[in-house]
Amino acid sequence: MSMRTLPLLFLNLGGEMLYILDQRLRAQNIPGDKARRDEWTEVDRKRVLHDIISTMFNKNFIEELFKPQELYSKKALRTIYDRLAHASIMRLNQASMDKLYDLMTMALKYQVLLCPRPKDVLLVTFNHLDAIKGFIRDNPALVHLVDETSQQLIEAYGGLSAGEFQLIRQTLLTFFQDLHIRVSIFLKDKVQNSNGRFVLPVSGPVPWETEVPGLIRMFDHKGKEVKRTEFRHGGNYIAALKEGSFELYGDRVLKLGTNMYSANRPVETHTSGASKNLASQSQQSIAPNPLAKEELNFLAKLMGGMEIRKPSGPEPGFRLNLFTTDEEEEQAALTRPEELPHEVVNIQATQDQQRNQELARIMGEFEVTDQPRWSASKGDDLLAMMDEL
Amino acid sequence: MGEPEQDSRTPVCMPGAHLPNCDAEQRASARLDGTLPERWKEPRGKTCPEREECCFPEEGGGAQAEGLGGDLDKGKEQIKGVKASKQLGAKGKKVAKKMPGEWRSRTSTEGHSCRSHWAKLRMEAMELRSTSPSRRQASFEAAWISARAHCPRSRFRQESGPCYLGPGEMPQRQAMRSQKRRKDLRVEESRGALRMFRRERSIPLRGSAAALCNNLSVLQLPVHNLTHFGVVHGPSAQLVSAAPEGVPLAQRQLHAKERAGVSLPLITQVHWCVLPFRILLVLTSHRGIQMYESDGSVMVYWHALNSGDASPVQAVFARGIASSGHFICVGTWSGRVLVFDVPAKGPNIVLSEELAGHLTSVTDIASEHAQEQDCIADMVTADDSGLLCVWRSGPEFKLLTRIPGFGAPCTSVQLWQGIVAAGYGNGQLRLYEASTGTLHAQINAHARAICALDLAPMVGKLLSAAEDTFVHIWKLNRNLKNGCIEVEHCHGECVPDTQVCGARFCDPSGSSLAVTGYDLAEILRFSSV
Repeated sequence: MSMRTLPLLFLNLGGEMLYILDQRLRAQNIPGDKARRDEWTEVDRKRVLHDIISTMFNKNFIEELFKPQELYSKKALRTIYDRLAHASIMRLNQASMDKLYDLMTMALKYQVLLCPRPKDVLLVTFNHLDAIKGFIRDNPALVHLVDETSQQLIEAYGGLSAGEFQLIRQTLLTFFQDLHIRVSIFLKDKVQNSNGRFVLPVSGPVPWETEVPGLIRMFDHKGKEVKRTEFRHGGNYIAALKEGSFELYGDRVLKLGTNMYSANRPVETHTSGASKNLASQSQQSIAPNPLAKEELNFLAKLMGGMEIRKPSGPEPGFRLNLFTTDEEEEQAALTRPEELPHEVVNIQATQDQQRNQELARIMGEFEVTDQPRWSASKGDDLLAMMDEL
Repeated sequence: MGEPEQDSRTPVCMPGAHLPNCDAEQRASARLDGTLPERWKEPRGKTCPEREECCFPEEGGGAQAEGLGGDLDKGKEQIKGVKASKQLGAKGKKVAKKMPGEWRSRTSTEGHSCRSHWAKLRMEAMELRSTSPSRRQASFEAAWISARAHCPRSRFRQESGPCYLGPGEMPQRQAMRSQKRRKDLRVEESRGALRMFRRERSIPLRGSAAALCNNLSVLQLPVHNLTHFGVVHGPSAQLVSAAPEGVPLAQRQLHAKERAGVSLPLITQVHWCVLPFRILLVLTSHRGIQMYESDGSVMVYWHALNSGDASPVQAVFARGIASSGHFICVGTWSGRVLVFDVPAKGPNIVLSEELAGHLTSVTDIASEHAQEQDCIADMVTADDSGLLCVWRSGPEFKLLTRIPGFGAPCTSVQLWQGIVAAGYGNGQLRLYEASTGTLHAQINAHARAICALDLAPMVGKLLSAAEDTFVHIWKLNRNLKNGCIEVEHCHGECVPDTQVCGARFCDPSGSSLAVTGYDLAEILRFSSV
């Protein structure tokens, strides 16, 4: 299929993950002064988001991402997001990670399926990037990184034809084939049926560059219009309003890809009949991909520049639970079918710890100690001394 | 409980008037020959069917009719049991359980006075027996009219009058016993043909259909009374053979041929090619082109795609399959069309020509036999830029016309009597004259990209299916006076919540069609009534 799909898939799934994590962290937010050591505060939340975004938009990784290549397999992509989610002080156990991944994939499947025209997948990506910039507003370096990625997107996809975008959309839909996990937020909004399939509306504005169906025009040999008739097409469409902007900044018009969790609703998933999922999954991976190991090793090399924060010392690993209670999480972990092909692959991607220590020692030698201030009068001196206590 | 009104008007509770679920024949027979159906005879401890539907107020509590042997306790049970008992209709259909509010207060809880109703019914039945059919009819009609005028139950006041039926009429609710059939009946309301398409039994698939264009191929074998269906799942294609009623008989899965050590390639299209002396099944994938015998049992030919001059950003695949005479033409990612010469028997298939006419990937190819003298075009190819090339087939293929695109990819194309029908990615359907390339009709047919077109050549019907969940059928014809091409809309069908990815007619007269949808593990079948 298309060789240009991976950046779109990665950035959109990453955006969805950030929406979900942001919503969960806000839900568990406790004001800083009242928090105990192991509870989430506003500062922690911002820190987690900053860490994940800086890992996601790492320059080298983005460069590799934009090279033309086939889509990663589902396992490899799942591993990337496992690593991303653990890029900071946050810890997720298997059940929560599964739920996070399910939510991400179903949300993106919904967005791709409902895109009016194939080129609008780019608008969805821009919506995600705009929201990410909103999370890290106060860190200009990170905003610059995200802007660079947006620029690369415009360069890579701005000149593609409609046919190529259609191929990209077909590739994305092939990746999401046979996923029917029911998401409560979709069920509530009536965009998903109880059998896990999405509702495709037959009303609303038509895509840009498409006419409202219903008109038949007939011409003669010379090209002159001779007849005009109308027919009932069954839907309830209106003309397109305006085209979304494909620039760095602008009104995207499309609402798909914006943060739908910001209304702070609890979001749950139901794995619809684990057996059905298994049947399709086991059929896909009949032949083990010999290149899978190579893919993961390459990934490890790319991510080697990341530091792994070990949960030790004064900073315990903060655990995030995507379920409403801890008991639910444990239950979900127990009922998780054993044969799910999510093997844990251990990637050793630590930085060279020795070199770090060396640098730290050298830095220490450069420290300047504070000189005590000499004040003019005795009284001031005393006051200054008391202040320093 | 207040005094119930005593009515002196004609009883409204005519036999069967409250029983919408009663069989029409039974009701008719009850009217005309005076016999009562089983149900209306004395109920032994059963609830009176009229109790819920009755539009008369209860005639006093405790009116004891003779011979029905109910005591007050039993009456209470009956009242409580009404909610539980649902088996009142002819085939177990539920009837409305609640009594209208204004009557409920007048119901005596001690005993139900349906016994008086039964008595009334029996008297009426005896009356009916004695009158002539026309008098019975007349009295029934009169009663019905007065019922509609007086009855507070809105149902009786409806124009359609669900309870009253003329002899031989079938109410809509009666005809559709199961929920499913009721939902599947759609009536065409546009001016012109009043067509009804009925959902037939779906054919289950082992895997869902992939989101490709033209993702359904149908081979009709009327001699063997079989139909073959081919659907692409992803890395595999599924072939199903079915009997005419849609009963699946055999299934087979074909995989794309792969090089060792690489991931499974994806299949782009599967299509049956009908040649003069044989039928071959052609599979195109990201590796190459595979040809099988028509049942998919034996592979007779394999052609690997040459990706030599592809840039790394280009996906390499074959797409677009058609048979033209004894040639099979397959399109590729580069725009080149490969022409294979197929012998009448055996695997000696040879690549005879590579047609260069397109600059972008080929999407679809269509062809027809040049039997009429004014039909000189043989084959048309379409590509991602919307460009159409019309060819004349022969030992050497000749390019006749080029029809430029307008920005949208042409996803599907058909050829009929020198008319090119092309469906585009912006939902437009266009008809061109094949020999000259002039545009004759432009139809804003769909709100999303068209994904499949098919023809019923015997009647000139065109089928268009798009990702907006709609399937439309059009009638093409040539105006003999001025030679212009005319098109009219016959029928539209909505396949709810399904992004359609393939649609084909299942018989040459265009009276039945099959549809596949993305992520749907079944082939939906429709037939016209």
